[in-house]
Amino acid sequence: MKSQVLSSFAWTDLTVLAFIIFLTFFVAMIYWVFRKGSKNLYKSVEQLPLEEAPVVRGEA
Amino acid sequence: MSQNETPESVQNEQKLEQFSYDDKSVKLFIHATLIWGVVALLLGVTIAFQLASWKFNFELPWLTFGRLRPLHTNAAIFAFVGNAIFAGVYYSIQRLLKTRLYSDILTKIHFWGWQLIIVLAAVTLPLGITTSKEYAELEWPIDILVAVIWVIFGINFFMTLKRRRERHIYVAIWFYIATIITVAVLYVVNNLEIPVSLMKSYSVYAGVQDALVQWWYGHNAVAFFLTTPFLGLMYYFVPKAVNRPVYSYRLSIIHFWSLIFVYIWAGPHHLLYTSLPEWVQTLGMAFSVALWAPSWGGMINGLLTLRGAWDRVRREPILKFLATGVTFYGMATFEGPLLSIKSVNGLAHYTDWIVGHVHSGTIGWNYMMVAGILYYMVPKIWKTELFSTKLANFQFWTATIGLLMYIVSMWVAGITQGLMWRAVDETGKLVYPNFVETVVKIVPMYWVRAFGGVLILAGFIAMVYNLYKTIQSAKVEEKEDVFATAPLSAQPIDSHGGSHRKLEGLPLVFSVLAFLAILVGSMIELMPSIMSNKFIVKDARVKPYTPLEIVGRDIYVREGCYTCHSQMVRPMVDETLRYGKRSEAAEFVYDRPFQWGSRRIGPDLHRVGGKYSHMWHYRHMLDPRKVTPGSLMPVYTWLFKSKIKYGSIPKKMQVLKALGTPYSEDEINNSIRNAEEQALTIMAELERDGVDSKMRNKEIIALIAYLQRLGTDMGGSDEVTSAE
Ligand code: HEC
Repeated sequence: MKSQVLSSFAWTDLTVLAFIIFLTFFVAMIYWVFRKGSKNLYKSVEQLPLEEAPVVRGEA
Repeated sequence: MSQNETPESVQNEQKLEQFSYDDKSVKLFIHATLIWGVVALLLGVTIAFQLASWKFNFELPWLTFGRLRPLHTNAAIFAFVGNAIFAGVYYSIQRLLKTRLYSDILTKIHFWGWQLIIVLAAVTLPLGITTSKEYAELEWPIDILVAVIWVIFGINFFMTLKRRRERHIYVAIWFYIATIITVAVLYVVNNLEIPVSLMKSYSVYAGVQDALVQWWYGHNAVAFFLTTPFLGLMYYFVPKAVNRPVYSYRLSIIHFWSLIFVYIWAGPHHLLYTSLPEWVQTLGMAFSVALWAPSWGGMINGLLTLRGAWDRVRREPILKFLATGVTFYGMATFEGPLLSIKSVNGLAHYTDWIVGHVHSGTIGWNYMMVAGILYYMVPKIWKTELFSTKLANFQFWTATIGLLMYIVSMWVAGITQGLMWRAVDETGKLVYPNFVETVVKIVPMYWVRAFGGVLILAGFIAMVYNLYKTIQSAKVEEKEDVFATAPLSAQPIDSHGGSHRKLEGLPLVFSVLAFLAILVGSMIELMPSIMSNKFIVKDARVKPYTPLEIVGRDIYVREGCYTCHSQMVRPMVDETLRYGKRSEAAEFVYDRPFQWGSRRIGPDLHRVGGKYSHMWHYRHMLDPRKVTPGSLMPVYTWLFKSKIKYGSIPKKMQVLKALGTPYSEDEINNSIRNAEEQALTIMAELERDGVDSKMRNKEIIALIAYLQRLGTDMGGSDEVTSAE
């Protein structure tokens, strides 16, 4: 069964499949990143490396 | 502007949790980075000189090029860069997540376990204990150790993530997560092998499949060990060093997802024009070219973070190194897609151009970034000032000039040699039929490269000295600093948009998505080859290796001949003129592991069987320059002293049989006698040429048996050249 399915399958179709998957993925991602209301969120997250927890003991 | 300033946490000071960072472990990883960095570069310089002059092989088995090159690559990738990654990751996640590493004990096991792996590699590889799969040469017991330690790293990392006191997960951490997951998958899948003994195994894949899996791994070792962790480090340390946020956070997200999604497909660009099916090659090429976009997105994002701070880049070593590192990332990721274009690849593959490309990545990107990060971290965690800015600048210039010498000499050598190989005159004959002519021509470039390497090493040593002086000037500290922040539970779930949390905020969901992103490409690329036996057309003319040839092949693997010789005649006019019929997939079905190689420092050997007499090989292995003046191949005198281990043959054949090579029980039972007889036949011919019959049980005989078999199943080469 498995081998029958495989033997009738043209591997070259995979190239097309790969392209479609990639395109879908990419478009979805761009849509996600530019979705409404994300701006403020990114504004705060990008500050994370620059925030340091305050020291209570020690000198840093 | 984040949760710390929200009204609740400001009002409830008493609710703050106190914690400290495990910087002791970060310090250990920094020391290891410095030590292994010197070792890796020293090895690089050594093998560079070995190509400039064969005398630097010193006629010692464990110092020959074929055994040291794998040690150099492993030391550079896993020892030097690996320890640097761990130092940078452990330093930055504690600060980004405002928490201590999950477990001091796991961190310790991680550190010492990793150093043990490196030491084991440094012992086994020079002894010739190797699987010969590039950057995955370590034998199975060490593979298991690598997997265990990597999982410990993973547990420590994810548990730290779980205990975080910061709700949002900064993009650097995504890159770390992708690294941890993907490296685990790659390493395990590529290293599936069946042991023959404690120090020898055979790959479960053969021939074309093995090649495909290996370069899916090999390319993604570059992607997920040398690139993604460093992009994470870039997104943390560059903003830190200039004290301003990343240029565009949105771009960093696009960068992340498209990079990990696309990278995983690109492996087959290492196998263009080989016996790999066309569609896989096309796929690999297309995705490699596409890779240019996300890579440059990342580079631009990194460089633009430095905007307005260029005067500081000129003055401060940290920024100098980081800016140069990111620039070289851009250069290497421009060159990579270029080299993946089939026609360019046809010229560049197997030449030094590729070697130069790799080093613009590892030296230009990784080494420069490591230097920048170390100059940032060391004064910070030892709480002192850098000992000498002058010395750091000295390192910067030696590294940059050394690297330029490296890259330019390899461009010249690679393109020169590539053009010489393919030069065909009007009558349809090769202009340079003697391979060694093309070698002699580029040896001057090998000297330039070697001295470039010396400069890079000298600069690194200057950094080691500089940093140790810096550390010496620090006060010895007993107590760790204590920090305070609100626990996660006291922070609002999300002030801005809930959908984000579901995707980018939850580590588990996020990790699963990242895993899926790399899985899609891997499956489409690998599954056909692994599942379908139709993938490779079998050819009845192709027969399994004889017992003696198996022994010879294992010697070939042990000596690392694949570091200088390919076994893949590509379908191009000049290659078929020079080597013979193009290689076909069916010819490799019994090759475990495959030996296609990646660089032709010497000629292709796939059709060498029957090309020369036994005596020619005998004399050539003993002293290549007696036979081919100008050769830079090492001498292999020890093959004329050590004996063939006949006793090991049956076990080897049983394992190969279990993997699918059609040996009968009879063949296995009689294998030792069969091997001895074949050795005697070879010996008879050598004796006629004056070799002492005592040589009949020496390893050289088995190696000759293997070399003479190569590529002959489908009709080998016609003329036999004699020794004189
Ligand atoms: C440092 C690189 C290097 C290594 C390692 C190396 N070779 Fe070579 N080999 C060369 C070069 C260069 C030539 C071409 C000049 C010559 O004929 O010696 C060559 C030529 C050959 C040839 C002749 C091929 C022909 O068609 O003329 C054979 C056979 C060969 N090598 C076998 C081996 C074997 C077996 C090993 C491992 C035990 C090995 N080589 C390791 C560099 C290397």
